[in-house]
Amino acid sequence: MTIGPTLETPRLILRPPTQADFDGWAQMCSEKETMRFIGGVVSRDAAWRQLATMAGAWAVLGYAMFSVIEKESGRWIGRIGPWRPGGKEGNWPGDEVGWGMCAAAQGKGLAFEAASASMDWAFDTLGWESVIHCIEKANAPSIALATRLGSTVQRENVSMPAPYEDLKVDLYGQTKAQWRARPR
Amino acid sequence: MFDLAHIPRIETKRLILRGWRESDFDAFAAMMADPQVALYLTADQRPQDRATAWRGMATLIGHWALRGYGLFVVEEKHSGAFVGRVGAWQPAGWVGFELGWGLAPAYWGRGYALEAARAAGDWIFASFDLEKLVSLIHERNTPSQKLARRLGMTPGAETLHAGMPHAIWEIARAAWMTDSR
Repeated sequence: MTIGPTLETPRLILRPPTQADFDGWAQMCSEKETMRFIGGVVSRDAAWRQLATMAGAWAVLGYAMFSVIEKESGRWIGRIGPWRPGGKEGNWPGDEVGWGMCAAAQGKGLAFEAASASMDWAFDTLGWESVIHCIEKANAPSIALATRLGSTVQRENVSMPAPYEDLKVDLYGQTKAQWRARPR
Repeated sequence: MFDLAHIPRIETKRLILRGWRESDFDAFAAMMADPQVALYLTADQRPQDRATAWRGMATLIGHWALRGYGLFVVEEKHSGAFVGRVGAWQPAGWVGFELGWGLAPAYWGRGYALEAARAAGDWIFASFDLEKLVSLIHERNTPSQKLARRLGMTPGAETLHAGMPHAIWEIARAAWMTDSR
């Protein structure tokens, strides 16, 4: 028994994080531009704790962000998926599908592919009725991805809980019905 | 991937060491919000809010998933109450394979930490091929220094952790088998 499922898309494997993901995770955490809107650059040691937090979130909630593995190379390229630290009782602003992808894998539509599979899983298996994406106004690449997924701004300038209490984001999002009716 | 259902359950005279449940969170968060606990268990010595404590609990559980060992929940046998956490701790970059402990203040002064740490240390030495265990203890944390001494540990190298002076207490396997009881 593992802590969560494995999903497959044409180019990707999505599965819960393991220790084998650490080098890729730490690499992403060292990339200034990649980390600019997801908490900033952190040390290798702090990156390990983030990886542990993600694995623990899977164990507690039964969902969290997937480790995204590129089939062709076998490499860990990012973490994407359902995210609600604290669960339903916590103070996260909603049921999020979030993403973060290392620089080398960006620009190929892979984040869209992983986020789409995550949206399907969140709606079909977790039974979520809607999803959000917490995005800072200056984060143009994430706004473009949210828009490509069909999400639109639901609320602006929303305060985030700790450890991001200094942050304001716009909540992009959509309902399950909107996702299922999207043009393909 | 370590199966979290395989976290052992260890019974001592008055305590149970076991894996984590979502229902442990309220008591864990209350413990991490206590200034006396935060003084030596949080990186900034300040009490944690619930959102931060949730991430902390997830990190403790994820440590088991990534490493195959970690900190147990300590439960009081007769009441079923959450008492604290004790066990193995070795995140990336850590000073060694640590035996760690931390209990909620309501349960201090009863010998529970000693009872739990002995059981956890026995489990660690029985389960892993280790020559020694370490405990990273703040230079002003006299209750933990006293506990380490009672476990037979001795203070070794001094180091800065989270910007604060700590000593790396340690005990060798052979000494544990004789000195910890």
